[in-house]
Amino acid sequence: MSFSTMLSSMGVGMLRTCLIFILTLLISLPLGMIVMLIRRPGPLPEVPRGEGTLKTLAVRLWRGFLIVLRPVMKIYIAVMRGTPLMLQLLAWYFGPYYLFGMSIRGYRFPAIIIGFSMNYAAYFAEIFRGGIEAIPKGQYEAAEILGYGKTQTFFRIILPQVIKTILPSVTNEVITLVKDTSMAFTLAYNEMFSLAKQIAASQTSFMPFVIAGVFYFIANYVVAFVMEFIEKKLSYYR
Amino acid sequence: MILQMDHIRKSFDGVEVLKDISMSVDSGEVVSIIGPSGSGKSTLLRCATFLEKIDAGEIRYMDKAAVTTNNEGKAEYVPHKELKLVKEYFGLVFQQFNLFPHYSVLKNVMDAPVHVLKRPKEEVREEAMELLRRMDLESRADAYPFQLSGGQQQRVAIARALALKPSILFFDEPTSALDPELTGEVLKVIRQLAEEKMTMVVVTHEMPFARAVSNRVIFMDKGVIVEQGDPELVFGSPSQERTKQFLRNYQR
Ligand SMILES: Nc1ncnc2c1ncn2[C@@H]1O[C@H](COP(=O)(O)OP(=O)(O)OP(=O)(O)O)[C@@H](O)[C@H]1O
Ligand SMILES: [Mg+2]
Repeated sequence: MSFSTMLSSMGVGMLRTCLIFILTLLISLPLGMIVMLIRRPGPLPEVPRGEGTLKTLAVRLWRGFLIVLRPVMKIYIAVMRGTPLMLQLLAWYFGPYYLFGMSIRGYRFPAIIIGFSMNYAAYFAEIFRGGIEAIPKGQYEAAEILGYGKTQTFFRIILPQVIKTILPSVTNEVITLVKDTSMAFTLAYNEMFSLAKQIAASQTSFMPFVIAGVFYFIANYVVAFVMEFIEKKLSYYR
Repeated sequence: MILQMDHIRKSFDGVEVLKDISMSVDSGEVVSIIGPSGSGKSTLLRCATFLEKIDAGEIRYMDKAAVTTNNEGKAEYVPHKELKLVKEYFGLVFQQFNLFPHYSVLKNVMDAPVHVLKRPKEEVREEAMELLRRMDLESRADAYPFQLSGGQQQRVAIARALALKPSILFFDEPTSALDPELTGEVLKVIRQLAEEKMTMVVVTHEMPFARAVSNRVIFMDKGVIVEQGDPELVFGSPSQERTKQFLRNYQR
């Protein structure tokens, strides 16, 4: 098998790897934000007095939601960080069958995306929490005195500063994700690394692994480049 | 009366920090609050600006009740919507400035009028530039807070507070975080505001400034107002032993 045939038969695997990577980021980043908002320590929201009934109801619901979900999120993060990703992928894929006897045909790809997203959301949630806690109390107080509402304060004042402080940690996490995509081979999903292994075995050649290594390296080079660009964009203030 | 506080009580973890404090501020008045560390000066300002909740007492702005005390002696705040309107009457300048680091000087001043009060941007920009001119910061409009000296940052913070056109402006030790050579420029701006009849309450350790600028001085100690009155009286011939002692320590 020539080099170019190897490359082209691994090409579809590369696309799948990219798909896992992109979908995981698209899901885990917002999910991590939501997990952080629930899990974040601090007082429960107070039910406003004499407010329109709809808003009062919404605050009440959110309050009850927090009381129930805060401990759940804590356990979720502990499990996600405390067990191997490989094991989690197996659990997500085979769990429905062993627990509920459900058919898992065609479920391979969704299981991979769920497994990766749930795992990375836990890590991102902790990074976001660290970023939020690093914002001085004075920023909240200044915003409150100036009349900003809670939502406005978060999106206009807090979040932009959080993004800047957490960017280096997020970069690390994203680079790890690029390499972690290879773990999809656990579920025999034919992304690039699984294909590399198959071709290497059938052709008794080490070349596929070299190609895989170069691929990961280039992918991470691009990630680092993009993140550095964003960091530069945000370096206008300190 | 712009501000009226009556029988304010505030405890932290069972320790009473404000003990039945009453004070009022009239339109155009400049009131200085002095007193030893831990006497409750900041807590009083934080209660007046609703950053802390009082346990008991009444607070009114422009004769509108913001907090009242119910039959059981507990403080009750008016509903959120009404409180929000009352909050528009005052501004607060912090010891640590608390500027928004990701906004330029001009945006720090403009952002709240535009995004909180929803006023037209062009109009706000003109007013903001005028405020920066008054603060002698016109040329720094596009700078970011980290590029400014402490004195400049505090003047931006004052402009930011003034941009919302408060009826009364509180200052909590506005010069305490500054190098000594920078306090003058901030005090000058406050003095200028006093001349323009801006109503202000200033917690300060700058005794000569308090004496020269304020219409009234309040001396606080251990959560109570020990003495208050005309600055010449309080500084010149204090009637209370504790005031004398405090001022003696400052003379050195
Ligand atoms: N959030 C808080 N929790 C617990 N105790 C507090 C809190 N804020 C203030 N205190 C206590 O209340 C007392 C009054 O504090 P406050 O900051 O009002 O004093 P101050 O007069 O402003 O002093 P300084 O001149 O040092 O600024 C102090 O004993 C302080 O330890
Ligand atoms: Mg203080």
